Amino acid sequence: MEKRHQEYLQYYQARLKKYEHNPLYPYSHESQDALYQAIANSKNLEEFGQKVENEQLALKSAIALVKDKETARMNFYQDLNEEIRSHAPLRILEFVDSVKTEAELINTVTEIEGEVNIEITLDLFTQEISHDLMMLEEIEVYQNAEVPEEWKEEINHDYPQELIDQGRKDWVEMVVPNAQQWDPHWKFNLDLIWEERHRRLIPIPDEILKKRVEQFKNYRGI
Amino acid sequence: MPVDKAMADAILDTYRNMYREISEKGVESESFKAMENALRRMEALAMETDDITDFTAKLTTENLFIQFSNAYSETMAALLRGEYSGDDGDEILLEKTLEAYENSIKNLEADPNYEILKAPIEELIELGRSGISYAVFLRTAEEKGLYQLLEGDLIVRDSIMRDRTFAEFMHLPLEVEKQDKLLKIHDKLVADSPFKVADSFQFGLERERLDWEYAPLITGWNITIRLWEKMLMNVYDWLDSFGSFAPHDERWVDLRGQTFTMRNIKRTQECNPGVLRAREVVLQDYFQLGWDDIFQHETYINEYQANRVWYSDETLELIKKAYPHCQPYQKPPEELVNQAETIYTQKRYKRPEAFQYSSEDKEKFISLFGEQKWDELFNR
Repeated sequence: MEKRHQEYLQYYQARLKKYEHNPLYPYSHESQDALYQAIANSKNLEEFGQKVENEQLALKSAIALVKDKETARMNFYQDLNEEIRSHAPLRILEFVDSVKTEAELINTVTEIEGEVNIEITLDLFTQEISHDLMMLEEIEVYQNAEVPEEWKEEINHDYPQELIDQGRKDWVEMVVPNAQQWDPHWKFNLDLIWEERHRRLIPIPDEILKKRVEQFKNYRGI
Repeated sequence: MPVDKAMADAILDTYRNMYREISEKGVESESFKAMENALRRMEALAMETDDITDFTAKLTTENLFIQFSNAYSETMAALLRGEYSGDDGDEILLEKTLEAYENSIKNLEADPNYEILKAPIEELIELGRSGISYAVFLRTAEEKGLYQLLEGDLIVRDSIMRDRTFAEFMHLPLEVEKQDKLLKIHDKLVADSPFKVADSFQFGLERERLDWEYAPLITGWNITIRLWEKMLMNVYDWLDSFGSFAPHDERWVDLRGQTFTMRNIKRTQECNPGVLRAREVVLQDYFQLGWDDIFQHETYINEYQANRVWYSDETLELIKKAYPHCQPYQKPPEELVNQAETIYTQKRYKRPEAFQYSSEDKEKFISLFGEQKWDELFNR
């Protein structure tokens, strides 16, 4: 075998070794093996080059790596019940085997990631209730505090109402306009609070969270 | 009204430079026109939108970053195909690769991890200039795991250790625990890899899993602290409000005058017990904890050891004695008020080491950021 051919053969052997015995990269191992076999079974590099071009081995390697990574991400997010985050790998895996060029692969993956990032951003607005927990506690504490008659108006009504008025103003002037920059039709979806990806981040019992949800609706005027 | 120019430039300069780089090569292609159109739209939005938030949201929702990047990739790919189709392709590829690595070192100069990050790149350049062929260069780089190192694995372990040390310095036990687990994961990935370098993609997923697992635990920890901190303050302020010093204390002094000051004191005396009891309900509702559980709770012990519990031990004991009396419509016994007076007059209410760093904390900080930084921040 000519020296340069031998050197490239050893290079492709090293690339194959990277994916051996790694269950995360089955497609990449397969595609690197195809490249290695192609160069090992070619009389010379020109023949290898022809095989790479005719059988699109470089493109298949790129597709294989994307499939491996996106399969891992899909399994990861499904394991964690992170439904929205799993949209990107699911969509990528649906189209990836049909791409015709590297550019199409890169462009489409990037577009999908961009679109799903917007979905994630909007979904994360559900966590406004987590951010509001401290304020909801304050409102409840002051509304319920047992105080002498002369203080009831100020402590049980005026002060909590001041907090609520500010909360509603802030919602209308800041939170909603910010969210609607990403989706002009955005509205807070209360049902999403109970989706596992959001529920798990509020470490309080269900019956207390139900109470907080009602308080949140009042606080934010939803 | 246009977005602030400095802010718009911070976002757009990268794209302007990429456009100029291609334009100077005299390229005329569909993909280059697509770059031009995307950049023109970005510039227009910088003039049309009112603030940076609106500007960046529109850039994202109109997919302009993606359109520009995709067009740039296509343009560059076409350029490269034109350059490397000749017989001396290997030599040109090696030269272009080494030039790119040399430029990347310059771009890293401002990074705090510059010395560590440039090491594998310099090793690649040295390898490339050693007279070997392009194929041998590629193989050797793979076998030495240099490409993985380029992804930053050398600094990953180091940065985990630094994060752990910083978490210890800040007395954040859950963070310390998380970093310990992350280190084990990293080291296992290294051990399992054929070239003894952790796969950055795999490591990234594991890191994300750990962050996901610890997020609710850290939130619960912080909420617990927030609740008992306010409860302690409710009792402390309530007792002090009965002291003769109260009218001169900043907690109640009102700039509108004595009448308002006295009303503030009366409010604390008569309302704090009700507020305290309502807070107890929240702590019980959330975590089934009561007042008596606070002082043995891991969050309290940690905050105390971190010097973040402000009160002196004497004041803490007084707070514990005052608590049972802190009921709606009740007043504290005279002896407790007298004790509060004495502590206040002699300024013994605050722990001397409150919010101070211990000598062990100082050592950790210096190991991370150096003695000069310590002096700058804490020895003014």
